[in-house]
Amino acid sequence: MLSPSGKPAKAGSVEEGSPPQLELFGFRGVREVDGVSVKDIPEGDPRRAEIDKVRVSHHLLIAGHVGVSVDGGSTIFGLTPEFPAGMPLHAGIDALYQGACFPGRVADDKPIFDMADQYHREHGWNTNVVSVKRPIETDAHADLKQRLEGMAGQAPGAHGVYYSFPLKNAVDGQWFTDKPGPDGKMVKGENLANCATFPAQVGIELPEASGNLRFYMPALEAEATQQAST
Amino acid sequence: MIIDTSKLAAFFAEEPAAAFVIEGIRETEDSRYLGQVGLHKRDPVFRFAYWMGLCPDTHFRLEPFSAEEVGFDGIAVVLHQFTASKYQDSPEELLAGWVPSGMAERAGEWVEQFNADIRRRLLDSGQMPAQPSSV
Repeated sequence: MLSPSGKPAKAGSVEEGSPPQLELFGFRGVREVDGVSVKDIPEGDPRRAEIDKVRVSHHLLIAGHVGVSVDGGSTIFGLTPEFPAGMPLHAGIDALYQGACFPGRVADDKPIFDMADQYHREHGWNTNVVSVKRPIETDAHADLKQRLEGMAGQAPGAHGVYYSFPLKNAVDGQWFTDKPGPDGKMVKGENLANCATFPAQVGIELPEASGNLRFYMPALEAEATQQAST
Repeated sequence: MIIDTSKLAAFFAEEPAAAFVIEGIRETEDSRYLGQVGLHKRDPVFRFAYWMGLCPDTHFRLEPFSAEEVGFDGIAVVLHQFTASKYQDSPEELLAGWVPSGMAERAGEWVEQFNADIRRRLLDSGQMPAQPSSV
């Protein structure tokens, strides 16, 4: 498999007979280039221009992304929104920022993680991909794999999970509250998720509850660091 | 926004063109990619980072450009998302990538394949009426 970035997708690391694996993958949206904060890069600087170019076309490199793998990273399932036919990309992104929700599509987002890694390696972006392994029993692994593949095989909304950005501040301890979907029907907060809280929808404990990547990624990185040291 | 040579010139003035060269069709479990645009293998949707529904007039097209216009010769592969929609009354297009001029025939074949796939997705989902069969 090749990614759209043109790089070969990394082969999965699961060997035959090895214990079942569950991994969370995540990367931050670009906030630094070569260690320099994006807000300190002057207008007109090519590094700034490069980020502006992907602001719409590769918005996940700006926003960050999280996904789940049960095959050693060959496939990374992620949740992203599906905008209705005829809605331009920029309008969909604007609507998300204004609090809208859209049916969520579960798909193999491996190419996006490859692209984040590529921008990190080749352009100095802070979009390095972090991964943590979680212990999982064989039966639970089989169930989770089946569930993820099942969701990926369903039309958006059919699995009941809608995509929205989390609230900046929790309301009564909740980061997602009821809101109307694109068809006007109310979607319950418990059925809303972004990429970072999507793993909880399939029973995976989150490193951090809000789904705001500025909190979530440090927690994921801390878990990865702890894992590396043991 | 229509992607024409002036838009391409502005785009490539700031962007490393090599990053957008299309070398071939790429696949994941669920989608086939032509450059930056992924077409779902089953559902009438495409992705350009996020997913969007196909419109009856969604299609890929080629936009040749010259060194005089853009700084180098090539052919842009453009996804025409729609001509007008209930969300926007002007055309919307997305740049999938580009190929060197010598790959014109290859790019044409890819576009033909993807456009056939788009039609199939729309037909299968009932969003495009089937052509009446000739008697």
